[in-house]
Amino acid sequence: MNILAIDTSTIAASVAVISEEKLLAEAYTDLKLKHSEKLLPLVDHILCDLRMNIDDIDAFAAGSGPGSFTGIRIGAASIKAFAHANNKPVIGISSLEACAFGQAYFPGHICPIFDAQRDEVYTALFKFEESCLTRLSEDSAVSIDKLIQFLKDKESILFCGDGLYKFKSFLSETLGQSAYFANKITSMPRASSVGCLALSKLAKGEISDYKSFLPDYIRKPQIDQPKKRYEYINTKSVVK
Amino acid sequence: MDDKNVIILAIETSCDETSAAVIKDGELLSNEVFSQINIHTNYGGVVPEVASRNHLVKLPQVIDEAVRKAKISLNDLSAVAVTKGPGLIGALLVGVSYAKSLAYALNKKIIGVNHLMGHISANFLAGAQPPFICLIASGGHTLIVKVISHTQYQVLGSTRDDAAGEAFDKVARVIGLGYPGGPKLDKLADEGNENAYEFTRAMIKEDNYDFSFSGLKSAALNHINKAKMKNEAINKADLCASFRKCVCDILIMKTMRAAKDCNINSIAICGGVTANSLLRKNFKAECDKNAIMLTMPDAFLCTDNAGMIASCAYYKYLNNEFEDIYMNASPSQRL
Repeated sequence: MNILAIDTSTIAASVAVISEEKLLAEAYTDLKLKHSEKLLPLVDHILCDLRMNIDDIDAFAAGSGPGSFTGIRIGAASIKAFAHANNKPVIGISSLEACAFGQAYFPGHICPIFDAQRDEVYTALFKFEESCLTRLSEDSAVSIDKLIQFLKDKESILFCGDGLYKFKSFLSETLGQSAYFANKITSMPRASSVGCLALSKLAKGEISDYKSFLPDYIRKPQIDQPKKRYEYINTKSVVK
Repeated sequence: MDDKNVIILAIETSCDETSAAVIKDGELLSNEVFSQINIHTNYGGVVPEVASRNHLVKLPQVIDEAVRKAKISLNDLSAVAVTKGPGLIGALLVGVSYAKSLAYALNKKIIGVNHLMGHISANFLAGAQPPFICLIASGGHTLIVKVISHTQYQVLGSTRDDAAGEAFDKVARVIGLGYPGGPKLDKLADEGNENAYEFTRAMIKEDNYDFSFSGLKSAALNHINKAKMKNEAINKADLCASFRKCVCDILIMKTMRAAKDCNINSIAICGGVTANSLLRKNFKAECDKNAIMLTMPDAFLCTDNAGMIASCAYYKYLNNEFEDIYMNASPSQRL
């Protein structure tokens, strides 16, 4: 059983092929290149390296967010289309969970944070219990201040994710000794983690397909109210 | 390359229409459109993020339906085509990402289509043969193009500010007709007197094929405010009729002039605005008078649809114009 997994929820894009036995290949880029441009070449690159064809893939997995709306949508559209070609299973994995999974065996809490703009982060809390990743809270978008309030009594917390670029020094100042930070090798959500988590979901039969799989945006779209400047006239008074 | 049995699946997601079509050897086999118009009506216009999310939800089923109605299977395809731009970036990216990955997984060629070339190519489906002069008038674009061959174009003129459809929508909004303004205004105008209010025909005398429509909204507002100051009621139907006549006159006159100057006796019109009933009627009369052949695709081929993208893609296929896996959306792509 081979799974092709991708993650495009942050500025980094990664692609991996994983089987029950091992991680076969992984490609990762964190450049200012657009996901829509780089994702398919990365897939092509690792499949070529593996002397594999996309027909050799049995299931497709994607980091389903939360994260950049456009990023997770590019990933989801690509994974849905791969699966569409031969109606193969699709597995969605929380990108926050994938990010936490990369911090295996840290003894305290694991708190992935993705930049959600407006001084907020997408986050959730995890812990490894008997070498198993356990989720302690649901994925959500919260302000960094609220997150700190929530975490200030915890003993040791490992932060990871692209939110570190913006908030690392602030977290370090406010939480002091109890804040730990993932190194740059493991900080971002990786397709290999998505693939690994997808394998266990697949084993449990928790699968989706190309029609029903959708990313998890968490937030509703931001909609500006209809612009007042167009409401020039009170229509009632001018109708003949 | 074998030019027989060329079967192409085309995808269009540039704005708020999710669409897929199948074309075989230049003949349209299916053209499925899911319009999100009811969703966006609530917001008074297209919300890009909402459009993008809905494209992702609807696209797989729209593709399946297009393939089913064409009575083919995905493996029969010669290529997958998609609108690259112009359009809303988030919306385009859904189509582009999907098309690229689907083509890759099926081991088929990929074709990127300019949305405006798509609009022009709707005329090939309606029987137009190049060379012809083409008017593209929609909510986002207004231009006159000399179509030299199925894949060669020369832009003669375009709008310097608002598109014709934008002007329709804005005036419709000013008098409270709601969204989408164009079709509603067209309907109300049928009941009005087209000579009741005066609108200046902007740039009509200038020796070029460019347009300007941004002043028309202000002109409509002036009529309303003037009436208000005199404590008179404005007749909405008359205002719509007069405004519509003005826009149609400008579009027709400039297009006819382009045909005359280029010495081409064939005109084609496309884009959402060309679904306007008066524009169609008057274009027909004017072309008949001047012995010019007129092609007007059916209304469903004039608004955004993947059928027109498929038509364009077919000629690109014959011309060996393919994209690679690095293809990206280009939201402000020009013709």
